[in-house]
Amino acid sequence: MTQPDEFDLEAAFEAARAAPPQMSEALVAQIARDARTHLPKQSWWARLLSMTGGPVGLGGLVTATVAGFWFGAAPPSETLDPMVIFGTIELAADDTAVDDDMTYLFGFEWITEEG
Amino acid sequence: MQDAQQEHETLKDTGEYDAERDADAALLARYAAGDEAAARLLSARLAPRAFAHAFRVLGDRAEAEDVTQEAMLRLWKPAPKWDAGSTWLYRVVANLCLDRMRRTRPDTLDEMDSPADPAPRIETRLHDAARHDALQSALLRLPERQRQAVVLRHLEGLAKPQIAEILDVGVEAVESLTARGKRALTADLAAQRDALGYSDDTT
Repeated sequence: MTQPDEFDLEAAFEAARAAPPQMSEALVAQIARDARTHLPKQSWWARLLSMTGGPVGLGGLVTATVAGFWFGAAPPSETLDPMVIFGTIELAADDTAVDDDMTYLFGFEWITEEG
Repeated sequence: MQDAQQEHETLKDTGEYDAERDADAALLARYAAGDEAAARLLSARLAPRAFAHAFRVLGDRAEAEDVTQEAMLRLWKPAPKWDAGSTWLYRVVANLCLDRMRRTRPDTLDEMDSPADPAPRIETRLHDAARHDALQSALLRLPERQRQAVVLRHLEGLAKPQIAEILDVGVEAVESLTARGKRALTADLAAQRDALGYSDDTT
C-alpha cells in the first residue's frame, strides 16, 4: 500500500542515473572547435620529438650523427673502406695477407684475371 | 558495522578520485603542450559530466549547453590552473549554474511549480518517465546548494570529499545538505504522486 509520506527516492535516483541527459551533436562539435582554437602551439622541440618518433627515435638519430662525425674525423683503418670490400679498388700491394683474404671473397675472380 | 563499511566506501571513492585527478592532469599537460588528441580525450571524459550536472541543476537544455561550453572554454584557455580536472570543472559549472539561477529565479520558480500534464497515464512505460520528470521538477524546487549537493552525490555519484571541494564547504556540510535535500525531495515527490494519482507501488 502507498504510504502518504513515503516515496522510493532511491529508485527514482537509479532511474535518473540510468538515463543521463545527453549533449547535442552541435555542442560536442562546438567544444571540439573551441579546443582546436585554443590549442597551444607546439614548441620546435616537441615537434622534433614527435617527428623522430619520441625520445627513443631522437636518441637513435643523435647516436648516428655522432658516429658519422667520428668516422669523418678519425677514420678507422682502410680495411673498412667500402671500395675495397666491394673489390672496386685493390689494397696496397705490400699488404699480402689481406689481399689473399679478399681474393677469396671474389667468387669469379675477374679482378685478378684482368689484372 | 555500517560506519566501518561507509568509511571503507569513502576511502575507495577517494582513491578512485585521486587516480582520476592524475589522469585528467596528465591529459591537460599534454593539451598544454599542443597535443590535439588530448583535447578529444579530455572532452570525452569531462564534457558529458559537466552537461549532466548543469542540465539537472538548471532544468533547461539551452542554459545547460551554454554553461557546458563556457566551462570547457575555460579549460582550454591558457591560465594557471594546476588542479584542473573533473573537480575543477564541476566547480566552474556549479558556480556558473549558481550565477544563472540567481539571475533567473524570480521568473522561473512559478513555472516550475506548476504541475506536470495531468492527463491520465498508461502505466509502466510512462510511469518511469513520469517519475523521472517528477524527480527533475522536485529537484528544481530545492534550495540551490541542496540541489547541487544532491545531484553531485546521488546522480553524478561523486565522493563526499570531492563534493566538499566543489561546493567549497566541509564534508559535514555536504552530509547535511544531501540529507536535508533528500528529506525535502521525498516529501515533495510523495505529495506530487498523490496529487497526480500515479502510484509508486509495484504490488
